[in-house]
Amino acid sequence: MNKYELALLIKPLLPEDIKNRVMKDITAEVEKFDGKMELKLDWGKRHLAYEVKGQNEGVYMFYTLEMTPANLLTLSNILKLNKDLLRFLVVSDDNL
Amino acid sequence: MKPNKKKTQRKSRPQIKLPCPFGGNAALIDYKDANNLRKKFTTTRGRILPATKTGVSANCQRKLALSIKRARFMALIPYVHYT
Repeated sequence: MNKYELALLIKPLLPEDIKNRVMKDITAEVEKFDGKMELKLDWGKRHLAYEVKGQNEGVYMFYTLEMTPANLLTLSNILKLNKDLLRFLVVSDDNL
Repeated sequence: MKPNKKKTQRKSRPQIKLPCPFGGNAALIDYKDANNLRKKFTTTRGRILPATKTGVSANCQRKLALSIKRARFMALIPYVHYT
């Protein structure tokens, strides 16, 4: 198990219940891989430095992740398919 | 043919070594602290400043460049800024 930091950039205009569902889906996905995920920082809505997928604003969320490297690869493949995410970034924790 | 211009030798200025803003501790650098990175270590156009101008140590500069690139990807800092 390695420690990582997961940064998510979510679409800004999602209703609250859909946003919660997106988060729940991701945490469920992580638990399926015997990983741990905890909320670290919630920046809320922020102006983006440049347009991403037609959006000028985004919601930033930061999580701590505990996972094996092989599982992380499959998780990132799942995150890539998520249409409510504008961007995501996984950084190993010792590299922060 | 062009006339061969005589090369003028440039005088080397005495180099002053600036202290590293992070004190050589690369663990202090974080891409989430993007506003600070942008103000201190990039030009107004958004390019990364060389370590010779900022005094950042070699180890920190590597980490700093990585952090700036991460912040750019997460749309915290622009890739290019047109003034």
